[in-house]
Amino acid sequence: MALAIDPLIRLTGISKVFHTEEVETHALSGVDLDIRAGQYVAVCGPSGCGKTSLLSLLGLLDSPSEGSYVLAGEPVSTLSPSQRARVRARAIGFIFQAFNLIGDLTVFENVELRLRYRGMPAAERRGAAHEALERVGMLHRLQHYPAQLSGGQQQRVAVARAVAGKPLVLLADEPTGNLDSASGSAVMTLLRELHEGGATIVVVTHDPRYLREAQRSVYLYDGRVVPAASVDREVA
Amino acid sequence: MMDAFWRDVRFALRGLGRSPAFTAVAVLTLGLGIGANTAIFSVVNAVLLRPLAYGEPDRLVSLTSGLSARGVTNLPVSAPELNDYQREVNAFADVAGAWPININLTGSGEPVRIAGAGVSPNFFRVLAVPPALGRDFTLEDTDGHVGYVALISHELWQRSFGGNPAAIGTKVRLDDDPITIIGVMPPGFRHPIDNAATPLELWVPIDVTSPDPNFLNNRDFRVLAAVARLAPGRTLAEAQRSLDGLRERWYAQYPEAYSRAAGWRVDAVPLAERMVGKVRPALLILLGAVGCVLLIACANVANLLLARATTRGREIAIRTAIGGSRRSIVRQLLTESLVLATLGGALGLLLAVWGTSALSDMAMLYLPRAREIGLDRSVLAFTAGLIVLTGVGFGLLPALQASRADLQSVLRDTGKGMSEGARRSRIRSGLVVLEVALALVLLAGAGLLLRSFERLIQVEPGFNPEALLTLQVWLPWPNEPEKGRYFTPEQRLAFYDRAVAAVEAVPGVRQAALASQLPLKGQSDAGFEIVDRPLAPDEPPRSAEFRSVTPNYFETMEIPMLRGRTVGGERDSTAPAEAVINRTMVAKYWPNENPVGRQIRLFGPDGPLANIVGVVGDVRQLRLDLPAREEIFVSARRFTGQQMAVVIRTEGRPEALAPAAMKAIRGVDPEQPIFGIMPMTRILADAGAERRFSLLLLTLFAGIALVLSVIGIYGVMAYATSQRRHEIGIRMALGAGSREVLGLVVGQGMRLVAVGLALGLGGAWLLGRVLTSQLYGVSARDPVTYLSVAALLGGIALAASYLPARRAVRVDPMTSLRAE
Repeated sequence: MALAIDPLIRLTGISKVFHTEEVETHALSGVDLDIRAGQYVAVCGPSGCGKTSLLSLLGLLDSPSEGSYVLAGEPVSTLSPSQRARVRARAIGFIFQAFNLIGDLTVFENVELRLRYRGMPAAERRGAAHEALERVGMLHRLQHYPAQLSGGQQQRVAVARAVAGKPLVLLADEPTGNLDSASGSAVMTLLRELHEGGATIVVVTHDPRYLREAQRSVYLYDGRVVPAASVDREVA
Repeated sequence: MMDAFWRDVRFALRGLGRSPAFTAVAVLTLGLGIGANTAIFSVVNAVLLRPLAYGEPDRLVSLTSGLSARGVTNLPVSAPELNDYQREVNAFADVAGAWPININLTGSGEPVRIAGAGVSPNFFRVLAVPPALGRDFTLEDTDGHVGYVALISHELWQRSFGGNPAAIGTKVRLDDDPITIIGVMPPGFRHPIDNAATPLELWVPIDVTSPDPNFLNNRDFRVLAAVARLAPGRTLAEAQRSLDGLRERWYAQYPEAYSRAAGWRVDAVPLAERMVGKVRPALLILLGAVGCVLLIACANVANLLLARATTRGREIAIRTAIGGSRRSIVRQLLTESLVLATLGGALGLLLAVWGTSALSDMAMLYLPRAREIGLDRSVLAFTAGLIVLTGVGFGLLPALQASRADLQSVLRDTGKGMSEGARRSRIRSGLVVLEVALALVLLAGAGLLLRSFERLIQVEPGFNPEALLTLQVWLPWPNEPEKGRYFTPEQRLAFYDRAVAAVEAVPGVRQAALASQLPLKGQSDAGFEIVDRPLAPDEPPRSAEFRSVTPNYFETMEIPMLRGRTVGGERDSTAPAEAVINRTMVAKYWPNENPVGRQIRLFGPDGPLANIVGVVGDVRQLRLDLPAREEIFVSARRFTGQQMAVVIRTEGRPEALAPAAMKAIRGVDPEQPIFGIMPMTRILADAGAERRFSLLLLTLFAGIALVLSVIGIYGVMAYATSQRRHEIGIRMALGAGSREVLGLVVGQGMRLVAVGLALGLGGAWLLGRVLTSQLYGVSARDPVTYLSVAALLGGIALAASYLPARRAVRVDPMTSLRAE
């Protein structure tokens, strides 16, 4: 999964402002961030610090109010919605806290969905989905529906969906937040194994146990990237 | 118990008030459905269900003659036949006859023509309806052929005498005879064989036992509509058996009047069936159609309630959590449905008041008993029943579904993005399928009628109806005709000549002609024989349409002269007459010959001879949807009747010349009423009135069905899309673009529509079979119609699915994912 382009992700002067009625909320302010291919980055910070906004921008679910975002050498901050959709299908794998599997689709159909949007031929899709499900140990549940799975199993399927087709980067938003500790550990182990296989992973987490899994931690406070020490000081 | 009910009602009203948009859409939808049903039921009730307004109406029987071999049915009967029924059919307690006639009422201001009837003196006793004022006819009233007394309708009494009881005993002049009004019939009394547009308003007694062979004592003079009353304990079947026996006796006793080869028959059918049997299929089809509209409306409201139940899941769960039983929750929700249905019913009733009046006006020309259409207790009871039925019908399923909610999962949920249960989703989808299927059935029915009507108005009537004004005159025929002003043919001819000359002098009139009967204004059947070509033993008697016309009739009507020339202006009654025949008659009797110069004998073996002098093109005489039958035209100068129609070819709009033409004829005889003045195009339009009635209503109902089902599809798709926002957000996060999202939402909608269309096509095929009798020139399985309406409905459904899909494309994945 690692790519020669370095850095794989470059954010420069990124700001995100939300306008609700007369209130202006600065979710991110002047964020500069480089993430190299193959890196395992943990994003942490207190509630409301902008972690999810940052992840959304990285995943092209949202566009910045200011600044530039270069993904694998391509500027992507000014892409149209449909161009962003194509990039998401090709280059980004999401793992959500709430799993976000589609209830009406089987495990297999959930996993191959992104590949379908990518326009991958059926045979290739089948191979890639099987490979991903095998990797997370869920190949035996191919025709099950999400409701028939435990929370931990659902998240493993979500991981399989994210990694199927080998995206450039995996973005995980509190992937263990809805799981018991055993299932959470299993998922983090899975992410570690993926990283060891060369995947670029950005994970948002509160859990200090899992921060240690990451090679690098990025601390956010009030929408800014800050050194870990300064966060500790202010919090203290 | 009642406290609980009123509490539920109050809560329902409060709840509905909090959702004004939902309430408005539901009430409007139900109002349309219930209103349309109430209006059509008011027609069905008045025409088919309400007993005839006569005493013991189920014992009244209509008697008609027919000729099986010639396909002729519903012939009136002659006075000798009527007397035979009276004397020889023991199953009948009494038999009466009525001869519809037009009577000129003069001497009281503007001369008017009144539709009336000469009736046997026992007529009203057979109907068991005595006059409301004055007295009934007695046998003594028929001194002479037609008595000098009359009964009038309540409406004529009100109109002409201001409802003054002193009208009894008043003398008026009817057809130049002094007649005394002896009674007034009850309000709303209708003559059994009546046209709602021109109801019969005056009755005079006639002597059906008159021995005068020149009056009614002639077996071939069939002018009487016969009504019999079954004797107590006797049945229709017994009466029919007696009539069949009577016919056998006639064959033997009067072979010249009753030909076995012609297949003489006498039919006894219930009077109600005779009056309304012809329109029953069309009315039942319309009742079925509005039933479909109501089903669609119910499906729509059920869908709305299912959607509402989802958003109210938390409220229902709380009610359950604090001890509410499932029964109490279902009762509460059903009360809401009934309140909605009642509001819809109230709106429907308002719509029905307007609709019933419009239907009554529209149906006058076509529907018997159309004047009786209105909202009565039966209709109100029907509407009340509909309200309860629809309230429970659309409310029960959503109520049961809502009351089955999983308490824990609902209460744990914050209420945001709660997903719809699969069962509820299936019900909603099923309802959409049902709506589409029913809408397609109605659209296909309307489409078939529309194409049929289109074919009908394309039918060439055989003449040019544009710029053609028509009017009719009926010269008075007093009780002692020889004393009348128009007794002799010369007197009548002199009047017509002067009248036509006066009309032709009106500026803007190009030409005027006379005809004994206008096309499409009724049958004028007459027998004839071909000289030197006697009937084969098994050949039925020959007959044709018969009209006397002035020589310029064909030119005025623009009927093409194919061979020979028009009739001459001969008056010599000793020389053979001249006849022009139509193309159909030539094809039947002289297929490979020139008929000009051949001779026919009119009316029978003793009738006058006529030389065929010309051949004209066919005219649709009876109905636009029936091919022309054989027709004989003779000169009106030789055969000058009491009643003639004037056809006037005009330079401009014919309606504009109507007052001047009437004035011109009044200039000849100020006491001569003129009636039926209308452009020929109106006669053509009226000829299609029956089809237009069904067409307009079915099209209206199909339109409502289309709108309701589109609203239904839109509602379901919009709701389903809002329920799938989260899923759409996930899909977009995974890379779905606008095309994929559009495809997802529209595809979901169109799958339901496709199933509905497939089911609807099956239903439409069944409806087509029922509609066959109403169609003309188009098959009940017309693929063009079926495909067109399926494409129309599919296209509109696509648009209804597309709008929510467009909104789905604008879903912000961030927002929808965050909402979870």
